[in-house]
Amino acid sequence: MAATEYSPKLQALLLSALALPGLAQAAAREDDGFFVVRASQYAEDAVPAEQLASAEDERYDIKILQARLSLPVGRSFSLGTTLAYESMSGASPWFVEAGDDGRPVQVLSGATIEDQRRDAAVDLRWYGGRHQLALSAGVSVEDDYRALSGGLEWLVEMPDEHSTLNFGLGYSDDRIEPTEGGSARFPTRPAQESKSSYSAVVGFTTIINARSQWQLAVSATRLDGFLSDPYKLASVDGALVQDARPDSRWQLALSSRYRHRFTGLDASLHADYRYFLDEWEVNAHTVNLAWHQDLGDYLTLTPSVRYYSQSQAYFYQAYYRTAREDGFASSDYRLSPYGAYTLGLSLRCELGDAAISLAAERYDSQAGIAAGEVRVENPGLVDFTLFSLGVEYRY
Amino acid sequence: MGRLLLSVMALSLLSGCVAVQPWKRGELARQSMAWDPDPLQAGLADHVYFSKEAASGRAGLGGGGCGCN
Repeated sequence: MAATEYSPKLQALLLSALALPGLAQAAAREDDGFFVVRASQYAEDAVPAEQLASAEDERYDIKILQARLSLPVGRSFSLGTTLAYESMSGASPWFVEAGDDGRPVQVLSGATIEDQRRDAAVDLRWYGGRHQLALSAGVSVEDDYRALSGGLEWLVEMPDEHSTLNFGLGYSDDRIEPTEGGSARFPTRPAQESKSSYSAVVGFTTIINARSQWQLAVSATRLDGFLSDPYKLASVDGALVQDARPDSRWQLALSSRYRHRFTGLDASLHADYRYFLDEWEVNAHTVNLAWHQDLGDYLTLTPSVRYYSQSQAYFYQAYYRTAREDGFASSDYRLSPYGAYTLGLSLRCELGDAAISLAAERYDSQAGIAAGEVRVENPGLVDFTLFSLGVEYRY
Repeated sequence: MGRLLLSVMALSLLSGCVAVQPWKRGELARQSMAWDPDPLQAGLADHVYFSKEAASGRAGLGGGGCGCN
């Protein structure tokens, strides 16, 4: 097909493609300069009565406001900043105990918890021929928590102009001062703790053909310090003890992402897979499929489905009949074995340089859909429904 | 199982690679073909799942965490 037969929109795409240094397309888009703001809200479902041993059954209601501004600076730099504000209210799982028939039942925190998270990050990216360098720094603050983080990424295009390699290093320093830690009411709750996180990522991206590209990445993370949940307890031989986990954790994740354009259908397929394993013997599979269907020149409808399954941490139990010799104890549902699926639908409308997008997601977790056999389901598994609205302007 | 699937996928994809000239990359430059077409939505998903699941990690570096061990 001759270029003159293309629509104006496709001609613009071709021009932008010609400007791509190899396939660093995501970074090239950032170079355009844009402002985007997104408001989201999700509510966790109440715990079913048969799995509950407390009067309180309502869980978190969470609202999140995000904004990102990206500015081209000269010919070789771009500067970006991302801000987020999150407010949470409701109750969260406190501990699990044995019910009358021996099945585990959940006790939620009695009083409604109110918390806010404020997050700010900046990133500076340099474009130099086949190379890109990015520096980032961020701070995240909650009522009882503070994290400082930084990162460095290097992206290099291979001489074949079809592949790129990227390398990244990251660090985060976190401090937590739990509410009422060490108080007469919660004497075993720590008053102040800290942890450090070191991460590294290596990625490879390649063009397969004119309609497909693929990315493979390996990331490793080392966590050191306080990795327990200061607000959770565990039931051990009928007594409640503070949640206690190892103070170090290696994590490894292998990610594969594939994009394919179905030209005749005006649609793009996203197929992602991640395998995760860690020092606590958690293994997890995540599969994410999304179908971006163009509807005319302005609308894109994207249905998506995500499946997640994890095995349990080696020291996890819903409740303990006897204490472990190593002293670890956690009944946190996030360390339990389970599976979850997410069904999503989003609609994006582009009008010139502006765009608006709406999204809805439903997340359901249960032991019955885990990849492996699960003997006892944690009663604290969470389900939620999320709604989101985004507005974007490119210049 | 996951490793086997990944190996098969990698071999089949790499064996099918062909040279694509820059002026033939128009379809790859579409927004819907980006790794994360909406960076804020991707960031939101990462944060939500990070706070509710044991697994984490992605192709790029993550941002600041949350107080949710």
